[in-house]
Amino acid sequence: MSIITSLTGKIIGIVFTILVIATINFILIHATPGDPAMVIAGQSGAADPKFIADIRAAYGLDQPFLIQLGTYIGKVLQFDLGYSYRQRADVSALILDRLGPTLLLTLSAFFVSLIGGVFFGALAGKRQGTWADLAISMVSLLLYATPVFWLGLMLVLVFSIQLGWVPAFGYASIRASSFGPWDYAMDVARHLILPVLTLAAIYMAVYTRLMRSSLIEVSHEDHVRTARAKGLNERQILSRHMLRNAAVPVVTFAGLQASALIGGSVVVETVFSWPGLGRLTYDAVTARDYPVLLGLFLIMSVLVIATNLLTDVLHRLIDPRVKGR
Amino acid sequence: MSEFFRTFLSRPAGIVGLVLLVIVCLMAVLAPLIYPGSPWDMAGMPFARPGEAGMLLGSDTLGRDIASGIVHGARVSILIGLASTLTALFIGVTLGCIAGYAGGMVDGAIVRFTEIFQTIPSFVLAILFVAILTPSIGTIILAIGLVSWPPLSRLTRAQVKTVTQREFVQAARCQGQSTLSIVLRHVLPNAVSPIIVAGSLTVAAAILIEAALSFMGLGDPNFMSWGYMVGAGRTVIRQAWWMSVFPGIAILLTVVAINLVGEALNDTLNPRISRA
Amino acid sequence: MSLLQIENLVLGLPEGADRLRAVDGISIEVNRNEIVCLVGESGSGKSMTAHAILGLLPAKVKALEGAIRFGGKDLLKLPAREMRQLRGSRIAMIFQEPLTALNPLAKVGSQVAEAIRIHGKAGGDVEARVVELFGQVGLPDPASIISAYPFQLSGGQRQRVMIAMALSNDPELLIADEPTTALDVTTQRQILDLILDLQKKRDMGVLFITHDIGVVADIADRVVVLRHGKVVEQGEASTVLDTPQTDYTRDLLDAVPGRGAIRSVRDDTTPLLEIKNLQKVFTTRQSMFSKPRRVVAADDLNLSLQRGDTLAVVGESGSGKSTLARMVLRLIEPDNGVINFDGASVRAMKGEALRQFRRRVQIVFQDPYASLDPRLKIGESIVRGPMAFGASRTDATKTATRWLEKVGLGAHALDRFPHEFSGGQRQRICIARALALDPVCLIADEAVSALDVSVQAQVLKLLAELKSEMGLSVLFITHDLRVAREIADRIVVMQNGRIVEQAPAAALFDQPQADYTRRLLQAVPGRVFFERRELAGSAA
Repeated sequence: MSIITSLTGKIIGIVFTILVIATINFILIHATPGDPAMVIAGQSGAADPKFIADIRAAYGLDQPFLIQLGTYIGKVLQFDLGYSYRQRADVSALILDRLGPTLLLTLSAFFVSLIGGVFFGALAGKRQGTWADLAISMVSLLLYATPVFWLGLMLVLVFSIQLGWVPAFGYASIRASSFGPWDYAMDVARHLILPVLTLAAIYMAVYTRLMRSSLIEVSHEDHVRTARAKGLNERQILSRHMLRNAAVPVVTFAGLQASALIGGSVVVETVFSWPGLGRLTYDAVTARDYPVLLGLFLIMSVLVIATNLLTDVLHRLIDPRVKGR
Repeated sequence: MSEFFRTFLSRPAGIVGLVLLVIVCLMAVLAPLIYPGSPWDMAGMPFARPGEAGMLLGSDTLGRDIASGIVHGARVSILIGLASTLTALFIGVTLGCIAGYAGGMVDGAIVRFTEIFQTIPSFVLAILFVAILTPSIGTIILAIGLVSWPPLSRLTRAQVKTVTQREFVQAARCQGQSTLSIVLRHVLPNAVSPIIVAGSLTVAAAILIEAALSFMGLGDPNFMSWGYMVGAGRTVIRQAWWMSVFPGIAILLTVVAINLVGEALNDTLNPRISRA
Repeated sequence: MSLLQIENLVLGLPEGADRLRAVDGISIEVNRNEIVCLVGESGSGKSMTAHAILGLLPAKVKALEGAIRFGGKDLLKLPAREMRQLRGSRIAMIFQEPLTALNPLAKVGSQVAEAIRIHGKAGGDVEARVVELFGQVGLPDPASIISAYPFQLSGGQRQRVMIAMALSNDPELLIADEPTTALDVTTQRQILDLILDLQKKRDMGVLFITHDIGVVADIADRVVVLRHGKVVEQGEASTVLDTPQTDYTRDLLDAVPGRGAIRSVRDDTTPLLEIKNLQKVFTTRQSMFSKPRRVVAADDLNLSLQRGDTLAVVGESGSGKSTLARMVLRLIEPDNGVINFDGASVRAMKGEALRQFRRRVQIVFQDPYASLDPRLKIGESIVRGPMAFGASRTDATKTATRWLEKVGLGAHALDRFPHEFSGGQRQRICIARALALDPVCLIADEAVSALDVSVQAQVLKLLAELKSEMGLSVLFITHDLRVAREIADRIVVMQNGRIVEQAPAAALFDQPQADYTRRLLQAVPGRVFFERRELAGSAA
């Protein structure tokens, strides 16, 4: 299959997914008990009647159902995600403003968890049955069962409050505006450590378990015996003929975990007051600011798709069979 | 069946999980007997440390007994975990079975639909759903069920597809057995065990989602829940660590227990039957 | 002095295995410029012996006694580092499964180049050396195939890559562990010829492991017959094959199908099963937008099965023969064409009519491990059939018992689970299950292909007996011309979904018409030897 057709397929798939999500949004607005216009306005008790009337007109709420849906989807496709009455700002502007920190957090966590998972999983798989394997397996079993928000709080408790090593909350120090670019970056990095560790830990646990069993499976495969029969030593066999093969299912699975990763970032940003989309979500939930919530849902879905594309690229890099099929 | 229990009980991890799980379930069932009062009522002075003022695990900012909250919180976790998994199983298994049997266009459409649902950030959808429809036990169960079915649907489809293509199923067709008899006696018994295992792991995941939702302030305001307790203690963690630590441990142990039981089930139900 | 000497080798199995020793005191020699065949059925310990030479045994199998001498050293006592220096340089090995023996993620050229570099013989242009090797093993367009990945090559091509890899450092000894077993018969012939040719050119010693005594007859200078980990007989190939000294070797030779009188055909008026213009194309697509892949499984098939006859459908993998069997039973729906059974159109049947039809036409599948429900007792699997047609449980159990006895298993099998039986026994159970419905026609879909040759012979004999006793008509699907010859009245040869030849068995073997049939016949391993043996047998 050529790159072009596969790319077109992907783009059509993405557009289709966005349409479905917009439709879910639309259905949710209408599923609310009460006036959809109030939902769009953000259910603020003191909503200005003129504003409500504007919304009615803009979303064609007196039109038949399907036309309303069409209008809504049309707006979404133009990146018009509505207006937050509470924050007095366009939802799209609010979201764009917060996109950077979230990307920084989720992408760091994605790579940390993937690299860490592959590393620890390979270590455990290679030393199957030893204390190292047992310890890694136990820790990943526990981490896998830990609620993200609680893990974050415990890390804060230990590393910030007790030990004082890293800052507990926020994106940068209050004095950060006076820093030079290098100091500023270091300051952000220090703030980034705990949130990234928190978010990465759970997925790292998942990937570790997967990588471990995958490596053990690969070690029984015929081509490993071939490599041995060639005269390679165990280290060469591991690095040239096992690691990449064992990582393939892990990367595939990481793609499937993208949606959970983005969901997890909501909780982590809430815990660490990280000024990204997740924190915005929490504020919008607390304030019942529906337009912002609906917009966030849409944007986060797009982020998931983007992460999926990223894992696709990774998958293509390590597995030649993907292109050929 | 006795062989099933013997294999299951031969796994120490499975036993540990089972014992923990039984304790949590007992807590849920006996909560009104252990702590007869409402967990929302003030039981002593606020900010009591664990062991102080007759409260084993201390009290929270409003003087509510943490231990009572944990015992009562077990009810919500177990109830929501089970009910939302049943919802997810209902949607997932139905869609998966239809896709697996029907094949062709129907299959393609369902697979596509499932894939899209897997791209949606499920936790965010759950937040949106509960926030818009106002938080209650019902909406939370529905929301978690609605975001948890896609993996179950994919698994069911794959299972049904492989088992129906196995030669013993074809042989049963050739033997003249009715479709219903084939499905009930050959396909389901051979397809169902991974689905049971996945279902048990879904319960654990559902409990985690519920905890996160109530942490975000989207729990049912009428029921005490572990996630809510962690969320409420979060702002005062510098002064009072116990308010967030103990409920978190409760969640952790419950989820570990279910995962351990799920894995032991997996080892028991799926000993390489296909080739043994 | 001989190149390789295995002296009194004993390999111990872990506790809980079916026996204590995988290999029990065997001694074998391999000289320069000769091919020694190690022949035996599954469980004879032949592969273990081969793996022991290069220290590639599974972790739980240990060499307990004996020595393996090569180049003046005992390989069993060699330090790991020295063993690695031998592997792939002075001793090379090729394996059974070309599909899995190569790393799927690396280019085939670089996998061969790695074997050269690892032994430090990288002087000069490694890539040019790989291209040269690929040329020697007969890979098409070597210069471009070096950058192909294994999944882009056919099974035969992958095995050629494996051979190129094995030869890359000019080994003195080549160990070949069933290298042609996973290949189609025509590909097998090519690979055998290639190994023979390269062995002669390079004066290599070859230890060739196989279960197929036909292959032995074609290539061996000397033969070692193994059974249950012990050497039964060994010697010059011609001596052992022509004048076997032990009963076991004789049994092995006699069990090879494809001898004996070929059946002659009576012409009947109305065929029991008639297939006309049958068509089936499978289309698979990877995604919604990619171009679908088309595989033609049936291209205008016409054939008929007479009452009381056995019709063998012979073809290599991908010929569409198994799809044909499934289409007859409507387990797969054909795209087009006519299937008539006893004058009635099978494709028009629905519901009860289809059920009754399937009762009369039963099937036995290839894989004896997949065709019994692992969760049901044997008795239950069999009685379900008669009960589905209204028999009471007591009657059905009686029928099941009768058939189990008939296939040589007895009533005690009723209450046991499939995993308690061997492959051959399971296949007997499947036959009992099929015949318990009192069919008039039996479809055997590669029913003996997964079995060892001696078990295969027993099952074929059972089928022949039951057939004549019950007057069954049999549609026999197989990839093995020798088996077809053993059992068939008429033979249909298929290739890529098309029938290339269809003739009475005698005519097909005496005067094959199609080019492909001739190639198939010539590719049968041990053909010359067995023909000679046949003549000698009838003269005596």
